Amino acid sequence: MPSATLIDTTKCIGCRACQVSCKQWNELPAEKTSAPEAGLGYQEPKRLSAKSYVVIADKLVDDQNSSTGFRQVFVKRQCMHCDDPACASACPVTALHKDPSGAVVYDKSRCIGCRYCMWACPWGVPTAEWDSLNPSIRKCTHCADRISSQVPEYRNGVALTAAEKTTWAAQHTEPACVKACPAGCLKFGDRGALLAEAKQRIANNPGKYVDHIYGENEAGGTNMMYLASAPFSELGFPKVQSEAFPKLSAIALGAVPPAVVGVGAALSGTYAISKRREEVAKAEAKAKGLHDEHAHPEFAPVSGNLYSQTNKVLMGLMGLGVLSFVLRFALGLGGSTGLSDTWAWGLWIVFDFAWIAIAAGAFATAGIIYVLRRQDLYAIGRSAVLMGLLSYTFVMITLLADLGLPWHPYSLLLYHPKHSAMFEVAWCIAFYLSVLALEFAPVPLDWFGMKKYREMWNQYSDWWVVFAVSLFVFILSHNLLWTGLAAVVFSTLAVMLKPKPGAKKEPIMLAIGAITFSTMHQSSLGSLYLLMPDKMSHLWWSPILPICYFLSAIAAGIALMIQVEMWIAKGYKRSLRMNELSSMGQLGFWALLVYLAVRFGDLAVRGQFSQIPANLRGLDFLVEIGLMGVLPLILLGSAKLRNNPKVLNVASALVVLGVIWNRWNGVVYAMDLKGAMPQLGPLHYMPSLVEWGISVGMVAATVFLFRLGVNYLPILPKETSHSAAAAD
Amino acid sequence: MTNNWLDMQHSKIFLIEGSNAAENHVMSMKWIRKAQEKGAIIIHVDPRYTRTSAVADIYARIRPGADIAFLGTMINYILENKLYDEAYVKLHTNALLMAGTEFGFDDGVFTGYDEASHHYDMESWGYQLGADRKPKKAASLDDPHSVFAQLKKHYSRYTLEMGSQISGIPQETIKKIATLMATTKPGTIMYALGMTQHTVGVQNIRCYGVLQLLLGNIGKAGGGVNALRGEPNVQGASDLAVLFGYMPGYLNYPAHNEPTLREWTKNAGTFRAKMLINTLKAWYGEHATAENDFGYEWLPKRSLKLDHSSYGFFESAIKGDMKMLYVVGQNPMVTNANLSVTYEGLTKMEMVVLHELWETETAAFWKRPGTDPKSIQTEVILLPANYFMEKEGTISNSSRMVQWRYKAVNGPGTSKNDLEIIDAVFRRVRDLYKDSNDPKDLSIRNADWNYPQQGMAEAVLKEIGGFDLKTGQTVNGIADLQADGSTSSGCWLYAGCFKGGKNLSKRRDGKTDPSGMGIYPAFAWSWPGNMKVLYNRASCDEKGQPFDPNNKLVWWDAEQKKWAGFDTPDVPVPTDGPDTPNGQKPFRMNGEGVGRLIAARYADFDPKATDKELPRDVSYTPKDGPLPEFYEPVESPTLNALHPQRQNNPLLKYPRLKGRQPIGTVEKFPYVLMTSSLAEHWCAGSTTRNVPWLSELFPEPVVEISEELAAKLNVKTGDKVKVASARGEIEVKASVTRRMQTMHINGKDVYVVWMPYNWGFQGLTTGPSTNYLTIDAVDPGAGTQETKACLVNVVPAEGGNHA
Repeated sequence: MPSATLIDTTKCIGCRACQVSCKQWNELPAEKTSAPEAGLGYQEPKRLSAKSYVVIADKLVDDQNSSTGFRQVFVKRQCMHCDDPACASACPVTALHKDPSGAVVYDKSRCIGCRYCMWACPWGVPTAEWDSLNPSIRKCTHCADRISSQVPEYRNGVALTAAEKTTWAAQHTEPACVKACPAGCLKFGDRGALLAEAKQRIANNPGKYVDHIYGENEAGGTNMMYLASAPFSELGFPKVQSEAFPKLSAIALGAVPPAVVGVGAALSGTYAISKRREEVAKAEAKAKGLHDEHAHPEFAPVSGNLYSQTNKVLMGLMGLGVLSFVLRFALGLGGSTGLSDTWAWGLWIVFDFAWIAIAAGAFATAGIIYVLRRQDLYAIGRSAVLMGLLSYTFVMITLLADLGLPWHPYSLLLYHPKHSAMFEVAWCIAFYLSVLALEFAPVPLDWFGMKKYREMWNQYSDWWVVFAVSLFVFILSHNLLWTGLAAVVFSTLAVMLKPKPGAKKEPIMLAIGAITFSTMHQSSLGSLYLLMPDKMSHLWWSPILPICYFLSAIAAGIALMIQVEMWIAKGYKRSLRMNELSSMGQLGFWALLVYLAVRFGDLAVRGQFSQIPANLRGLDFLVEIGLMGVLPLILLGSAKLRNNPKVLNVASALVVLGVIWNRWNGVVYAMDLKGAMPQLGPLHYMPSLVEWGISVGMVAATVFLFRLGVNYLPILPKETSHSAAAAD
Repeated sequence: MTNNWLDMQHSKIFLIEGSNAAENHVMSMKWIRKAQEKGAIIIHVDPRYTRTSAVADIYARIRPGADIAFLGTMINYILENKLYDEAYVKLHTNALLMAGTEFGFDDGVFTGYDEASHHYDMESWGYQLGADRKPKKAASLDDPHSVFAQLKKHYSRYTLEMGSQISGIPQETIKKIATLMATTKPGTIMYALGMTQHTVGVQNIRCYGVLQLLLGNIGKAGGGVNALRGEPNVQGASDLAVLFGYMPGYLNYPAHNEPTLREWTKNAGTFRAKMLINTLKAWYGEHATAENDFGYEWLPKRSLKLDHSSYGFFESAIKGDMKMLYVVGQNPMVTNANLSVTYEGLTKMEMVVLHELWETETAAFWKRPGTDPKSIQTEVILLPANYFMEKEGTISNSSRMVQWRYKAVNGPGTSKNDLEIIDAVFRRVRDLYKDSNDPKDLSIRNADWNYPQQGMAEAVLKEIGGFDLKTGQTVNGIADLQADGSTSSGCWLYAGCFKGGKNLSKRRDGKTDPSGMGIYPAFAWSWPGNMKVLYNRASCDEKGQPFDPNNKLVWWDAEQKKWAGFDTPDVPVPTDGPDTPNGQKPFRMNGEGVGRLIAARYADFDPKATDKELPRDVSYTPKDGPLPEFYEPVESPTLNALHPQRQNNPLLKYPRLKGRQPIGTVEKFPYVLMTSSLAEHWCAGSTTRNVPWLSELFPEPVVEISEELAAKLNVKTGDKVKVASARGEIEVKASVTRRMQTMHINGKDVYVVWMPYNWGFQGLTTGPSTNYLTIDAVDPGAGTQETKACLVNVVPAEGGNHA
């Protein structure tokens, strides 16, 4: 059985020796405090932080049996040391992990500073060193280092005697707080024995305790267990589910390796069917003597002025982004952002989530073109891929700013957690970015005539997909069966797709890889929230959130590509290719329909429609789902309406905004954050200028580089009479 | 403490009054919690609901300064309802002794009062004596002239109704507490500064003595009256004469009317004279002989007309009678009441010398905010001193346990420990006087002061422990000390702490416990004679057998013909059995040998003594009365309900300095202020406010007020308020809490507010010193200031946080 501490709050005298001894052992600095705050007594510091692992909460509880009408109760609060901790399961690099003693400990050398642990913990325990340029996550370690520490040979340069060593060893067999407690409130030992003792204490003292050992079952059981004379809800303890939190995301993440194999296989089948249809159609056309209607258009750069007004504005915003980036690292996260132990994630994450969702246009378009063989949409393929590549690149750069310790990326290579959605997302995005780069590579390679590299691309790009997918499956599952299966499926595909000698190489395999990785990380972004059923409103939170995130991203991606095409047409004064756009609109309709059907079905099954509150949150929900969901669905559903460029513009814009709003809600408005333990309530959050600067700068860079690409590379199709006519 | 920390685990009931043990004597809770595990009841009586109240079974809110009204009512209730331990009372107290016929109490004063001089003539406070000069004994407790009957008569005025309306504690609660105390044994009483910092401080504690004697709780494991003494070695410092009226071991310091040892002995008795001689032998060595009264005449005599207390210093300086102050281990610029007087006194000194760890407020008084340093002529010399971890030596804890502490680290820079500094200063002073023929300098020239530079603290402890000067060996205990100059002991209470040449304070046997009660006789050493429970003879009946066989400390072993036990028996002579007078003296330091319900004036003469004028023992009688009587604090929100014409302690002299010690009225200052220390900060905060971790826990002073008062004043928690008394005003944040509640006193609502006193203008966290508000009226006997009760007004500060 693991080591645990039993905290009998009926014995605590509030002396706070535990707080001080904790700081002493962990060498933590003092906080600047300012007494007092209404309702908190002399609780100082008010909440946990990177400088304080323990706080004694000071509670006045109503008690009609007392002459005063109340009782004062002191409650020691610190990390609960879950049996199966949400924080450790969240950690993408196992920086937070279980010690053999049962303690949840932290290894800074692994940490990348993503702060997912802070949001994952149902009690708000992990906190960050906001004022450090090299910030750690800090929390109670149950003194694992103290209990495992070696007896020193010397003290103040004087060798210790055998007796002194014995004394030293005896004094380091329990956590510093337990050692310091003068009132017998804390008892350290074997969890099973302490649990039995706790039950005995309740049985032996009828009426003294409430019949609830907090920590016995909470979150699947914790190694900090509490006895109390008042209901725990009155002592500031949240009601926490009795199932371990990681189980919520373990199912979703456990499904990733088979899903990869499944998606690969399904795409192969889809491709085969589509290809067959295409060939039949081609043969029929040939028989009828028609020329290929969907002959690939020619692409060419569009002339443009680098120093145009728009570009100047974009360059200014990029400059702001660079300056903000410098400030972020000069001042640290605490100094440059509005983030806090409540708002461990903020504006940047909103941008990342939303951006990734709408950047799904790249994989969706490539998939539609190459897998579903909609060669009619070939013309928008390049811009979609370039948009995706740039978007993901700048999401990654934003993440560099957001991570507390971005100089520890190698941790992702070295440590492979079991069920971390963050780990999955990190690897998946990295692989996806490589696939996007390869998808786009032929454009510059061909344009600049780099034949040798183009040949290499022809040779190896498919095999890179096979390798990346297999490696991805391996690091996620550490299961050779799934890895082998993935390798076999994708190798077979690669062999199948090997072009016949002389035939033009199509990036079908890359498109399949892109879809596979996108499916995984778009859904896993939703999985990130699975650990937070107690924080996220259940109008948004759902066990099938990963599916919702994936489906909504497809709809948003398609809608964004419609928007991009419209912007291009407007920006470059080109004709609108309404045929293609209308087709995209129709695909968007189907994608949105599937998403909304799943979302509505899920809400109905979970009985959430009756739970819509009559407040701003309810309105927020209705706006997202109605105005930005059902309304564009109706608009896109009718061929007549979506053929109207204005309607298509509004509808696709609503879809994009709806998904952006959904992601924004996920981070901000759907969240009931309570702040660091003891969860007195959220701190105020206002994104700083640096946060806005980086996010806006990155968007500007994306747009700017896209424009640059359009100007100097063959991204857009040449204007032809055919397409011009279609626009008329 | 009569008992000790570990002994608390045997208590079945605790009356904690005048102490916030859970905050200020945190370690006591270790033993209280053990007792609670066995079902002990905790009663906390305090004006403020504190962390101690939170652990209590019964909390009784009492008005500051009304303790005697409450305890007197308890005593009356116990007497009226015959809830006392009759066998114990008859055997071990002076209940059956015949009180003087003239003795009485009328109009709020005892007999013998002189209004003009605020002084009692104690002549009428004695016993009726027989021809043998011993007190006459009554046949029964009902004898109207017995001490018991006098006690009953005195407290008959303390009806439940009276006690309740003065103290604010409901009648039912008083009854409940009295009944529980009387029916749950053994019970202990714990107190600290909440009881002593009053103008009736000594009498407050006397109530406890009376109560515990009536309940038969003194001398028993789990019983006693336990003064909780703090970390700063208060116990050791008191034992070794830090108090201005005492020599080491609580022997009276020679006064101007005691020019010779014989005169001193008339007032103190021959037993104590023997102890004084041993101290003089330790001080003057071979210079002290029987012929020169062992150097008694070299001791400077203190004038009883002058005030030598720490309040007297500063007042004398203001009057121009005091030129120099030498301060060690104290920060009066934070801790003295009515700080304006302290400050003014410091400015009038020509020189102030301090041993300190930091530049405290006292060391930096000349740059107090708002002060122009140029206007102050005082020369301040600050000597860097070592913290307790930077030096070796002993600390005596509340259990009277003398424990050696080793040095953990070297002090920083050129800092030295207090002993080294005093040694260096003394040697230099002695050098300066070496050619002097002035008789007043003989005390210095004849001093036997030659401690080794290495192991100095241990050498001093050895001298305190005592020597047989003929053999040069250390003595075994008090019984070895002689009155003929053949032995020495720096402090007689500590005699034997170096028994057998071994430093017993270094012992650390925390395992050997033959009693199974946590006595651990081989862990360190407790005075006197390694005794853990004082007066333990009183735990036995007339035959010397324990009243409670399940709770044995000592007993008369008839076979061995001596007193035996787990603890050192507290008897005059271990071989004098119950059938001898010495075998019936559980309170052997009293002339009567028994516990004193009335602290009668009594000197006990030894019939066999050669000098018939010299008593063997003189019992102590508080100068303000042989029985505790309730008097209101100097600043009180109400009239004394018992005797409105006698509002305050009649022996009180206040103001002492006209113009500087104003007394506030309830009209101008309607609220009662009580002050105290905190768990997080220690006394003046000189140390703790320099520890960041502790400053974090309690960063600034506050005033704690009830919700009712907050509503009346329209302030919220965190708002700045101005707290003003007749002596000063300061601004602090308000802390509004349910823990403070309105009291109903003599038919009126009384609002009590609380402030911690630990802040000043130096250190990591600074804040206004509460003691600018408090009153420096003092207890006539002990000289302790009334910092637990004065009157203030509270108003929202201008520009406060009113949104």
